Amino acid sequence: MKLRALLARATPWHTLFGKIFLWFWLSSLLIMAMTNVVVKSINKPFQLVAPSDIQITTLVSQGRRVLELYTRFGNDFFSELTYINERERTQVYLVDENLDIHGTPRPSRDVYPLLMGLLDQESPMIGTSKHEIWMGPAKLDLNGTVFYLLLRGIANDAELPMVSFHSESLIFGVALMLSGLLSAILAWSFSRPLKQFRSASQKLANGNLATRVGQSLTERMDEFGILGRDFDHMADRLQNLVSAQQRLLGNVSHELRSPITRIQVALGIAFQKAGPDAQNILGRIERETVKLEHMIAQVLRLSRLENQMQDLQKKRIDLNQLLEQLSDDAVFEAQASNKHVTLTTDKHHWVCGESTLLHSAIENVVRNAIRFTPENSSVDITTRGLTFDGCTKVEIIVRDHGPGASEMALEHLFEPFYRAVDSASDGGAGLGLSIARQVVTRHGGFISARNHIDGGLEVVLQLLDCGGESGSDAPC
Amino acid sequence: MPNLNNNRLLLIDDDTSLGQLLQEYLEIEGFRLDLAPNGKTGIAKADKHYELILLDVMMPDISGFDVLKQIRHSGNKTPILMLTAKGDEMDRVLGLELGADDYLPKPYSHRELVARIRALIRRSHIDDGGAPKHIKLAINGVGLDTATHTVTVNDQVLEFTTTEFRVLQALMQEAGSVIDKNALNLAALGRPIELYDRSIDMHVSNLRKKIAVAAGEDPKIRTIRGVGYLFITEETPA
Repeated sequence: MKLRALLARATPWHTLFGKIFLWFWLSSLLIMAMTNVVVKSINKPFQLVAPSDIQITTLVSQGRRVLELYTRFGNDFFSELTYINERERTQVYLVDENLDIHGTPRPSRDVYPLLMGLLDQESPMIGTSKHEIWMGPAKLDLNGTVFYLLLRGIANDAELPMVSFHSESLIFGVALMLSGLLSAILAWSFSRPLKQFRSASQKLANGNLATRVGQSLTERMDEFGILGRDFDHMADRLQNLVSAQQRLLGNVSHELRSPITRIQVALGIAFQKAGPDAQNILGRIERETVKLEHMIAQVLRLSRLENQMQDLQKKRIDLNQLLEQLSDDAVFEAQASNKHVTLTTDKHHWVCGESTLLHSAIENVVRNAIRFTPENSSVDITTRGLTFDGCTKVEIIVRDHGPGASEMALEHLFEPFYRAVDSASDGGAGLGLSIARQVVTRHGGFISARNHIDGGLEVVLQLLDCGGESGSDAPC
Repeated sequence: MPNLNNNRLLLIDDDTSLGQLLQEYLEIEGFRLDLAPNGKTGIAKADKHYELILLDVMMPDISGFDVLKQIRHSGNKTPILMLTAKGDEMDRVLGLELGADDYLPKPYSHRELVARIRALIRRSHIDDGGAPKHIKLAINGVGLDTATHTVTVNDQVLEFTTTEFRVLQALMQEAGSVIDKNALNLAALGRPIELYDRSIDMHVSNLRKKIAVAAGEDPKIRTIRGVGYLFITEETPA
């Protein structure tokens, strides 16, 4: 390990800086080399290749023809040559010892270097320039004067020997592929660890605190490795902190509840032993104790909910069934104070979430409504399916027939310990609606309150409807 | 077994000062409470004849669940009342699944505690006492024998807790007709159903799971939403 670390420091390859530097250097070097090759191949005016046997035969037969023509026409030979050149696809040129070119049409100056190059050759070669293809030389002895025969053809694509074009495109292609490959490797070497980081941090953000980036990253010697080790260290700390906090919550809940339980039992003894005068005040102590316990439970629940790290155990929930159970219980509770609870569902709804949490959220809203609705009136629970932007939602509307709330109160209704009515004695801890809001928000929903036109408060819980027909309890 | 009716209870809870208070309080109510300050002593003491065991879930040495498992594993069928932390539904489900008869969330009111204790004891005495108690039932592939306290499903013998056995007995005695939850609660736990009380649903759910192991996909108990449960006979329409 020590050796590796030492090595890592010595070789620039092991740092991100070194990596980027070397890769860029290498690729720019490569590009320079390539450019050099290409530029040279472009600057070279022509390229010569050996002709095929058929081409040699053509050259030889043209040579014979020239000799024939010369013997037939003698000094009129050159005008005859002009005549042939005008009619045939292949033009014949003769170059004398003084490098004068005989034959029409006059070759353009651009091909002179090519012609000089050909004339330097011992044996016939083929060279191309633009769309002209030249072959030669063939030495002819015309009555003691030495001429060199050159043939010019207009090359169509098939006849072009393509060699020069081939070699250039080959070089270009190889350069393209090689540099592409190198760039891809470079890009990949950055994007792969970044992807790993991304997936790890996403998992962490989703509450999976046991997530680590993995050995392939932490064992690297470069900056990614350092970042990977730091990330894992951070995740360790985070996990420890959260589990410590959750342990603390658990302990607080246990430690606070133990004395309350003892008080409850002690009250039982006191009820039995105390005289009739004390019964009233003991009853008061008991009620306050129950309220204290209720508040502790709610504070704990709220702080657990606010601790975003806690992951929800989401499952498919039959909302109608949940509401039926809930309203059954609520009817029972409301009867005691001469109130009613009604439930009207528009159709079957399925939601995705943690059943116990959603139950307690809706229950809190309903209980709140029961508290504020006057005697002989009812709390109405209705559901309504909504679709907008292709999104199916379900609204659970809980309406009471009580006094409603002022505009100012409506804004603060869901804040912890806010009381619309100053009624400390009625048992509420002032946390029920805050818990409801936390739960609904954690489920990607929305909660709001408004006054009904015909009086009474209306609380609307909006949740995503996950639809479908299949049974409940499936994870989602 | 003769009805001892000794009113002796065992509390397994690490909170000794609570234990002492409970001792004093329950004595006024006519019970004798023995204390076991930890799981180990609890398991050892549970062998003796108690009418009821009160078992705390949160204990430092062995958790209440493990104590429960060991007591039930040794064949001890004494009624057990689990004392769970309030708001922890998982504890409740787990406790009933492992064979507790009822649960009481902590902190409980003294009245509630005594009411639960009385209900469970009353219920278990109905089983013990009375003359012609031998009931043998065989409906829809499920056999139940109160003398041997055994349940067979498709000739396979299944292990049930006392409460589960009572729930099944109540359902089978009325097979083919719906029993409402309150009646079922009374029959099984000896007390009427309470607000937000889901323990009977949990016992039925446990029953279903156990029966499903032997009966496969063929359901024997149907939920009648908003009312109660129904044991399906061959004649019950689908």
